[in-house]
Amino acid sequence: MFFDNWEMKEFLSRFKFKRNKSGFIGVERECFLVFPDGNLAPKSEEFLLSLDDKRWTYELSACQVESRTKPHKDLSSLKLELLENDNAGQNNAKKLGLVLIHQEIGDENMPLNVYPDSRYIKIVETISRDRLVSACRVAGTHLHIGVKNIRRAIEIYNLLVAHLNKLCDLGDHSNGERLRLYKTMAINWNPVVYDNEKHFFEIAKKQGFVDNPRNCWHLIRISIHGTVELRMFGATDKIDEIIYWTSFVKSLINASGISI
Amino acid sequence: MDKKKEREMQTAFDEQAREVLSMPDRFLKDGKDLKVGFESEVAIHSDHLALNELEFVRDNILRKVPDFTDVELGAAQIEFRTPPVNISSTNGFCDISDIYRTTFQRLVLAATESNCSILRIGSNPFLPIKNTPRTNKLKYQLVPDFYNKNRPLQTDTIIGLGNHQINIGDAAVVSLFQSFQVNLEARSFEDACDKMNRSFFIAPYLLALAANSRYLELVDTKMQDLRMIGWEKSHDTLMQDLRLVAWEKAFDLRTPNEIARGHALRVGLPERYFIDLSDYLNRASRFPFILHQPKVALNMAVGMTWLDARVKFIQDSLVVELRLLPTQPKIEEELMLALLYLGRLIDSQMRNESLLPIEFVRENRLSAMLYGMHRKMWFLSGESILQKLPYKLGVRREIKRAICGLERFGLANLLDKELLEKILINGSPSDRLSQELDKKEHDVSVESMKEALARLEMLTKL
Repeated sequence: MFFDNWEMKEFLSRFKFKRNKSGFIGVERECFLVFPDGNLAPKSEEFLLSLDDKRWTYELSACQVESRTKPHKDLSSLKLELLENDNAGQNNAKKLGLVLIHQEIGDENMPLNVYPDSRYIKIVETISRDRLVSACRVAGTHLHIGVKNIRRAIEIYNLLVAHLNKLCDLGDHSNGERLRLYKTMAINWNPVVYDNEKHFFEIAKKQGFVDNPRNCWHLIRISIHGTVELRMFGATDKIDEIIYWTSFVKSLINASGISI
Repeated sequence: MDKKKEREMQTAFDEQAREVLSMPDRFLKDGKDLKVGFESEVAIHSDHLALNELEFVRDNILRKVPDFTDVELGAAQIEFRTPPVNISSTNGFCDISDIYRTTFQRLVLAATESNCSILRIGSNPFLPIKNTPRTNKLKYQLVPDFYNKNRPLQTDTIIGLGNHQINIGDAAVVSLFQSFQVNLEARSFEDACDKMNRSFFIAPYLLALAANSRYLELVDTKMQDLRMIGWEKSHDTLMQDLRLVAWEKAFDLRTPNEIARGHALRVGLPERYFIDLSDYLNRASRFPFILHQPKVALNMAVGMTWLDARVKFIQDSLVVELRLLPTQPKIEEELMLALLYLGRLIDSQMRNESLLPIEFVRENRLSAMLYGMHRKMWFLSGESILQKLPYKLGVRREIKRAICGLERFGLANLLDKELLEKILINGSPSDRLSQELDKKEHDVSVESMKEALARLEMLTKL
């Protein structure tokens, strides 16, 4: 019992909630690098080196890169940062003779080069080729909603889990193909309603993300950044669409009466 | 308006557009003249007036100054303008400046006689957002109501970069916004389209200098110029302008499917540069007409094209209108901005400069609205290379280019370079107002706002 409590505290302490960022929204956008002939380009290292911008980072597939925004309360400032990232990324890609494309699935025969990061290398060693192909092929848009503490996080998480199907439909541009691939890659994709913190901890133990919550692959998850993260939206080249998703999620939370 | 009437409007629009486009020669000019006109919106303000008295008093003031003035959507608003003047003629610019100043002085005098002041700001900080008084004209009732009725529930209409945010979810919020417009006669269809396209990318550089709408209901939104965001949010019909941050949010009616398909708003920037005027008119007709007046369908659609720049068809003239800039604290600042715009536009056309890619314009524009001069912007080098530079560095090159353009018409010496330098040092009108009110943080009172505005000559009385 004592060890369980201690372990649970340890687990929950991994989540860094920030009261002053409650209600703020951040976005991560994955996209593919493409050669002018249309083939996917495993060039993320060169791209990131050349861009040298902390808002851009790598993904498992070396054909993908990801841009992130800071957390924003106002959606216009969020939109500006999305535009800034997009333009900086496109301009950099052009200099390298590449193009950035925001499509939610890559070709079946795409290169399977993996970015040389130790975590990814370990993952790749343990998964089947099918799962690797799936992991490389999918590109999404992740929304992060800042919450002030674990209780509020569970409340908002549970609220959004109830709308999972609607949210999946809203963010789908491939007739469900991206989510099908995602589910091949992430066996524990289905977010579970949590009764309380203890239940959250128990699920983490059972599904193997208690030591590293980043290994929780639920389509909705409570992230270590102190946010509720929505991972069901596909990649899109329309920033207004991302802003719409954000507005929609905000409206669900507002309508529920839960104050962020 | 029912579907049958919308179809009638569409048919009438198509016929009128075809007719206009079939007569390019009717609009041809030799290009020797530089015919321009200015328009500006201001508002009356008085502590003694109830909201329902504003329109009556405003109309009384207008009766005393009937020439070159008109009403606007807001019950407190007045539009004043100049006739078109050829500023390339000897004394042309001095003449138009005199007319502009004189009309304004008459308005100030008439307002003073009614115990009112004249407010020269991009967003009226005194009036309420919700149910703000509108001028009693059918179109001013129907259009904002249409957007209020049709805006999707999910549209996020909360704005503000600071701790305090405000809800601008009433399309009539745009009646609190005031802009300054420059009208320029084009010499042909091609020239009009080219001027409009170039205006889209020049305008954000000017807006950063000119930002003047930061406060609503005395709340500091920390946005440098919130008008278009308000228009866009309150009037999102398919996704962008009535006038800026607030315009854009208040006018957004697009459905999720329309957004996913990339539909644009009738407000702000188009999805891409226009190919020609036919392309431009085609876009104008894609939005709801709202009012049923088939005889003037074309003019109505153009009138509700709330892009940052647009082309109007006025008798035998094609007029390019720059709409992005807010009303300035002083007439002199508006004249300076007008010259900068005209000079930069002339220079761009003379050099047949490449257009800044529209997605980069979109970023510059939003950056100017939110952060004004305090963030980097994209600029094109002489070799058309994209460069992201600190605004104040990049804009100096833009100013040099504008001066080159003005020299072509012998107008360079009329640009008030001292005033321009002061603005670059002291900041935009929004910067200056926030500095005046700085110590008050969010608890700005009516009195402190009035005092600050008066010190900055944005609230004028004789």
